[in-house]
This record gives sequence, C-alpha cells and structure tokens, in this order.
Amino acid sequence: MRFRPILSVVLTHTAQYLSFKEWIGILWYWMIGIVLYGLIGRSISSLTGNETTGIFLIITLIAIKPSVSRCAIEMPRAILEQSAGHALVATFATPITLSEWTIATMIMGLIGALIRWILGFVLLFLLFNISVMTYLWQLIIISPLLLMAGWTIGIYLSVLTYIIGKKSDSFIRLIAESFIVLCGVFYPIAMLPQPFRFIATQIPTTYIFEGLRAQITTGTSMWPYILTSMELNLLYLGIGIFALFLTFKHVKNRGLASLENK
Amino acid sequence: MISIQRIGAIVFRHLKTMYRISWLVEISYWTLLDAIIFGSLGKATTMLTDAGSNLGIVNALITNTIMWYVVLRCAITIGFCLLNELFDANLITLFATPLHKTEWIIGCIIPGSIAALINIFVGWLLALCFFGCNIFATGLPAFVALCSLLISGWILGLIIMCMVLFMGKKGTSWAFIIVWSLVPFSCVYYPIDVLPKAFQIFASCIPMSHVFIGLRELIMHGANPWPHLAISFILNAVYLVIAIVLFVVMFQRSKKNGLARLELEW
Repeated sequence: MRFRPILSVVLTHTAQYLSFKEWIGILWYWMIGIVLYGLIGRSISSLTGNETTGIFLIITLIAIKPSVSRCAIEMPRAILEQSAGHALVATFATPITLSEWTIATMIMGLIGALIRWILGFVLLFLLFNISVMTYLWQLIIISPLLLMAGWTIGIYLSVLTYIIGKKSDSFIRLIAESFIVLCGVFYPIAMLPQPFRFIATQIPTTYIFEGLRAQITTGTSMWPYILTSMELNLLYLGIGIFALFLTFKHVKNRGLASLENK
Repeated sequence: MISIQRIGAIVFRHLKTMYRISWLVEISYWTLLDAIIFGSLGKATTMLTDAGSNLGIVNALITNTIMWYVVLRCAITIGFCLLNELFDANLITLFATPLHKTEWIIGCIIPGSIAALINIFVGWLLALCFFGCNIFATGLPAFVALCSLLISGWILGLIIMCMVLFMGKKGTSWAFIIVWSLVPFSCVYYPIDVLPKAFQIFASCIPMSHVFIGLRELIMHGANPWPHLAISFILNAVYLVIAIVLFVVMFQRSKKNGLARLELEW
C-alpha cells in the first residue's frame, strides 16, 4: 500500500470542491434540508410538548445524511466518473492497486462528509440556535460507525457499478437514500410498516439510532446497541470487500474497457 | 388558430420518450420513501402526544407529502420537455414547423399533468397499502386541492423553462434550486406558524401553502378548507398569467439571440 497513488486519486476527485458553483450547490441544498427538518422538528416539539424530540430529529439528520449517503455515493461515483471520461482502463493500467483506489475513494467520502458535517452544525447553530456541544460525545461515538456503514454501502454500490456499468448511475442515490429511511433515523423502527421492519433490523445504522434514542429519552446505556451495530458493520464490510475484489477480478478478466463502453 | 393535431403530436412525442418502466419504478420509489419517512414520523409523533387513536397527524402528513409530488412531478416533467428538445438538438427544427408557442406550451403541460396524475395514483396506492391512509378520504376538497396543485406545477414548470431559455445550461441547476427552495415555505409538513414571522408573509404568498394548510386543518381538526383553497386559486391565477407573460418575453428574447445558442451549450 503506497501513499502517493492514494493522494493523487484523492486530489484529482476532490478538485471539484474547489469550484464556487459546487460550493453554492452543496451549501444551498444542505441549508434547505436543514431548514426543512428543523421546522418539522419544531412542529413536532410543539405537538408533543417536548423540545428534545425536535432537536433529536435535526441532529440525527445532520449526522446520517453526509456519512451514509455521501460516503456511499462517492465511491461508485468515482468509478462512474472514470468510465465516463474513458479513464478507467488508463487508471488501472498504472501501478495503482484496487486497495489503494478503494481507500482513496473512502477518503473522498470522508472529506465530503466532514465538509457537510461542519456546514451542517454551523447552520444549525445559526438558524435554530441549537448547539451540537450538548450531544458532542454521543456524536463522537457514533460518527466512526456511521462512516463505516457509509463505506460498506459504498463498497456494495461499487460492486454493482462494476457489474452493470453506467446503468447503475440511476440506482446509486436511490439505494443509498433508502438506508436512511429504513434505519429509523427519525422514528423508532416499530413505527415502520411491517414488511420493512425485518430489513431495518439487519441494518447496522438502525442500532446506532435506536441506542441514541434510548439514551436521550430514557437514559438507557447505548453501548449494547453500539456493539451490535459494530458487529453487523464488520460482517458486512468483510463480505463487501471480498465481493469487491472478486467482482473486480472478474471484470478485469472480461476487460475493463467493457465498462467504459456500456 | 390552435391545432389539436399539433398539440397531440407534441404530447405523443414526450409521452413516447418519457414513460418507461424505469421511470415508473423511480417515481414509485421516491414517493414510497417519502411516504414511509413521514408516515412513520407521524405515527411516532402521535404516540408521543398520547393520541394513539387519533390518526389525524399521520394522515395529514402522508396526504400532504404525496400531494406535494403533484407540484414537483408536474414542474419537473414540464421542465424536461424543453430540456429533451435541447438534448436532442430539436428546438430549432420544432419551431421551423408551423407549431405555435401556445400549442407547444399546452403540449408540454399535458404530459406534465399526466405524469403528476400517475404519480398521485401510485402514491395513493402505496399510502393505502402501507399505512391504510386514503389521501382522497376528504372527498371533494382533496380533488379541488389536486387541481390547484396541478396549476402550481404548471407555473413552476414554466418558470423552469423561462430560466433555461434565459440562462441556457446554467439555468437548469438554478431552476431546480428555486423549486426545491419553495418546499420549506409551502408548509407541506408543518403549520405556517412554525415559520419565523418574516417568512410567514412570504409563505402566505405561495399558493401551495394555502392548499396544504387547508388540507391539514381539514384532516386534523375537520376545519373548513374552502377559504384556503379559494385563496390558492386566486394566487395561482395571478402567477399563471405572470408566468405565461414571462415565458413569452423570454422566448422572444431567446429567439432574437438565436435558439441555436441554447442547443450548442449541450
């Protein structure tokens, strides 16, 4: 594993963050999302007479959205960008290995998530006067797990992209966003319609938010939930990495150029 | 003289290129995701308010969430009618035919409305299956609200078109940013008094906010929705006239500068 190829991939892809237009896009959409969920939270707080429920809603949104959806999307997006620019074959014709490429895309996801986290918490304070410091230690505990979950989803989406090529573009956001809906970020999973509850119990992030909710509302320890989430995360990550290497080997044997032409 | 045949041809062209199985899957998927988020959130809120048997909050949230898709789907589809012509470098060819602007606008509004109606039908089915919520349970007011939202969708669709005609490729992202920015002020998920005072005035100038406020009040408290719906229709009529005038001005301006400039950007 070498540092320089990883850095070069990261620098190539993060160059997009230097554009003013990109920043306006990120900031504006993120701000509208925060305003929307902040107001929904305020409305729920007034209905329940409990301010914590509203604050919990908006904080969990800021915690999950960048980590799960951004980390997950950044990895297959990098593959798609390379194949759209007919650069995938050229990239893997250099001495870069799949591990180095994967780590680079993970770092890109991390950078994207960090930018949105910082912006999110600053906006939260400016717009709703909610300080993240109140929940700082809980967020410090859950953020690595959320990032790990995001990377795991990203790896599976990368596998999908290697298999079906450019067609995966329309499914990537769809799949990544559905994890946010199913893992009970904004509500306990018992509120989900029956057919979705089983799926929810198999998602690592579900336990993070169930634990966080239990701790904030009833004072119960969140550690058993965190442990379950970590176990599931590690299991899926292990299987995902194995599937990624196997798929990549298969695609390489068939010819990477086939992905660029698909 | 408006020709039904020419309008029919435009409608057929867009329906033919737009409606695929993947399109249907996509609209069903996003509608389902939003219905699950806000249905579950409504259920959780109901539990916390000790009003377990009162499903008003859940039904109001699901109904408004799905109804919002009428505006969104209609506006996006109308916007894409112009974008499709630009992607296919077909705009100049189209206006080299005897097609009139009015016919073209009507020809774009019809597929937008069809898309919105398909979306609401899918949403109605999903809400009924997963939450047992009939979004048309309120009867006539729900259908009147649907009509008002359709007109709002036309207005936003025309605004998207105006921005693309005026700014070209750059206008596309700005147009969608504007549509997305109206969501917090449309009071889809909360009452108007949740908004800060200054924004309440702005929200009351948006026709969609009156529709959603009226529907929420009706579902949750059984209040009379007609005054809100009437205001929404008045506002819609004013904005529709403005949007049409704006579109005509933008189109003339764009034609003067050369429509080819828009196609070349893509």
